[in-house]
Amino acid sequence: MGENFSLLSIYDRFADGCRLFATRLCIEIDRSFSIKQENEFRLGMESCQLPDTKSHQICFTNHIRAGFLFFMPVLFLGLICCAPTKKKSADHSITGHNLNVIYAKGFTICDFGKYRKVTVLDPWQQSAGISFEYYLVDRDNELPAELTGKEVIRTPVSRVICLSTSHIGFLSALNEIPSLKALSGAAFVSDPGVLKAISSKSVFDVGYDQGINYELILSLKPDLIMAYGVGGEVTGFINKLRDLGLNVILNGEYLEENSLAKAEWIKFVGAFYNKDQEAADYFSKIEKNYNDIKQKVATVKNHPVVLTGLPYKDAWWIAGGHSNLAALIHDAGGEFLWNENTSREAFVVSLEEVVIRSAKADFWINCGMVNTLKELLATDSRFTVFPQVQKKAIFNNNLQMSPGGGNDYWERGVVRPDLILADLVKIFHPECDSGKVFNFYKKIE
Amino acid sequence: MVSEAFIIKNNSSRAFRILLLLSLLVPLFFLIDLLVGSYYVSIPEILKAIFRSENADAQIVLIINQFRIPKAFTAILAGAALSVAGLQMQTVFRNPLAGPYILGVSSGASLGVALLVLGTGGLLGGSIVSVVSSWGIVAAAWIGSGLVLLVIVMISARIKDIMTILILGILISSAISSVVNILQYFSNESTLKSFVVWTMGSLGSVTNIQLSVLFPSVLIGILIAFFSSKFLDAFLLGENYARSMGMNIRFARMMVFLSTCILAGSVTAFCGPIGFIGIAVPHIARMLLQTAKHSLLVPGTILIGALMMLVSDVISQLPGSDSTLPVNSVTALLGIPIVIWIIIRNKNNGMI
Repeated sequence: MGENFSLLSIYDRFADGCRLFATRLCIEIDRSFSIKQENEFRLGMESCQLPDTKSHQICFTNHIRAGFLFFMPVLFLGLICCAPTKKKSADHSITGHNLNVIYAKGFTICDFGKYRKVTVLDPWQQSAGISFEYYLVDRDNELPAELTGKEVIRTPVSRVICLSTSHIGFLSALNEIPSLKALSGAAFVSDPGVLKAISSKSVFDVGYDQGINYELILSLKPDLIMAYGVGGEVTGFINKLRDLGLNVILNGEYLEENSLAKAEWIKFVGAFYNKDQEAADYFSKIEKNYNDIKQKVATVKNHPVVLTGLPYKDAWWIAGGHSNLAALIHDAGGEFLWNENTSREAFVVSLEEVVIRSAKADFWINCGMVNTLKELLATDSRFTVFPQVQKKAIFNNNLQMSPGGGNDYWERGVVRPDLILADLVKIFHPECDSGKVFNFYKKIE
Repeated sequence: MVSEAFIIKNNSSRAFRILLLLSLLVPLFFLIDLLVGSYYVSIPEILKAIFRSENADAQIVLIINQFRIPKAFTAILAGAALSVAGLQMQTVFRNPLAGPYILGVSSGASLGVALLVLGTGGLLGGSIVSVVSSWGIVAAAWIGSGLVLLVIVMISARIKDIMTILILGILISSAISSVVNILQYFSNESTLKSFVVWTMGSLGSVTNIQLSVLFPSVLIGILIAFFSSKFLDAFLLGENYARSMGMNIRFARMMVFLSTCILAGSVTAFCGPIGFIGIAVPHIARMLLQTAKHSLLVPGTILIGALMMLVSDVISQLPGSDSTLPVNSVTALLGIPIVIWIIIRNKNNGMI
């Protein structure tokens, strides 16, 4: 008896171990795959940096940008949908906006006059060739016959539920906070207006993942739920909400490779509020600020080397060399310590490896929730050997923390990459005057 | 002498030879463990860094002294402590599936760490945001496992039947685990990740100063285990038999529980829960040494446990790569084939 039992439990453990190993292997394969895919993306990108082209062309290039090698069917669809656009919008020019998307790869907006089609491409990690289409029709207009059976959302929306606090940044930038009826993770909100609304019970917390409160969502009668997907399993969740008769859209802002592309999703969010023009104006202002600051440091000679992150025990997750953070460091005239890495996603290295590498780093930024040098050394006393600790060259992005632990860097920072960049320039190149005070960063001492 | 009665094969000289071999292998693998890591350091450089550090490259001295030596020592301590704790539990409960965590030590430690890392936000409505220091985690885990020890000792002082204690221990740890689950459920991603990484176990985060606390704790636990060897031999024959020999069963039990909780609790506090070693190593020791005498089994499990942990650590470093694997999964993947092989080979002996 005893023997059988122990064999069984040993088998269980073995199976667990194998599963873990297999998962790791899959991640590795996926990673190498996504690098390949990324390169092909970039191939399509070249032609997209041209400023101010006509809308039909932009629609076309956006589809190319989505990766013509990968998404031939999407490209084909795009050709069909966009070819008649010019003619139609000439006939009934309702919005008359230039639906120009420059940096973001994750969405396109196509104006058909009577309605707009918003397409979200590959909205979760390692998704390929997946797209969602939403048809936006003005509340006052009749539903065009060709849209029957399609996913139609009546705009402007007025009762919105955001399932990520980063979506709140977009709402705030568009002055649409009053439309927010509920969110996920109320404890981590930074926006003062939303915090006030939460305490006065006019904005609710619907929970997240498995704990989502469907009844609360239904009772709030939202006309739009903005969700995000970490993996393909989100489709189950979306379908469930759709079965309840709700409009769910996926926001893939967090997957964009650079900060301007992330901020450009304000155009995506704006479309649902019929604020295409406001969103475009807001973005071009941010874009100009960002590029001005970038220009300032473009000619600097020295590029300080930058270490990022904080380990969990002895495992240190490093942002990928093509991540948004690496791009920000580069734009701010710094050099990312793992510059040669070509991944978008974070990877894990041993603490020992970081000790060796950090010897040549000048700055250390984004170190978790650390506020003081003492707190940093409390997490691991061996940090004293890091040259950045001795030189006091550590800066953390948690200047703006809400009482509940929300970090404005992840909320307002999403729509204000120019402010983040200004902070980084102030850290790396104090000689280039980029603002008097820090917006999101503070010195750890 | 009583102990003569249950020696399956009276082959002490064989056991001694194996113990000798093991005590040579442990230092060998200690050196190998110093040698591997993401950064290549040659043997002469290591020796220079250890013995003549003033002449060596400062970076290498740093790596060896601050990272690799404490990690290798931690591996030895963790392997030895968990294996001895597992051996004691298997003997006292006369159950081959018992391990160091069967009394709920690791669940108690998890609860302590979960309360600290994940905060009491989910339960009390607010949320605590602060940086969690490494000593804070150690203290929380220790307090958690200490409280579980207290409960177990109180139960074992009242209840005679050892199986009832076993069942109560499992029930308590299940209850604690569900509280930990609730805390995990209500926590956000980054704190959840730091908690999950803690549950995966790690040897490399123990610093030299922490080692100076871990080492004496493990030493005390192991000394108690050595002194209880005789009790353990008697437990093998059943508690009634042991009582008839004039042994104070409750005192003996208490000593064994105390030793187990100190060993498993300290290692869990510093390294997180490390699975499998505690269950597998006592079996390996019994099969290799072919004896049931705890005066031989205790040193045997110490050496085999230390060796297994060192080998697991070498593998988890993934020599030649920047990354590491969580040591917890390596111990299981490494140990299970060994145990399966031993079980199949010894099937006719019916050892387990």
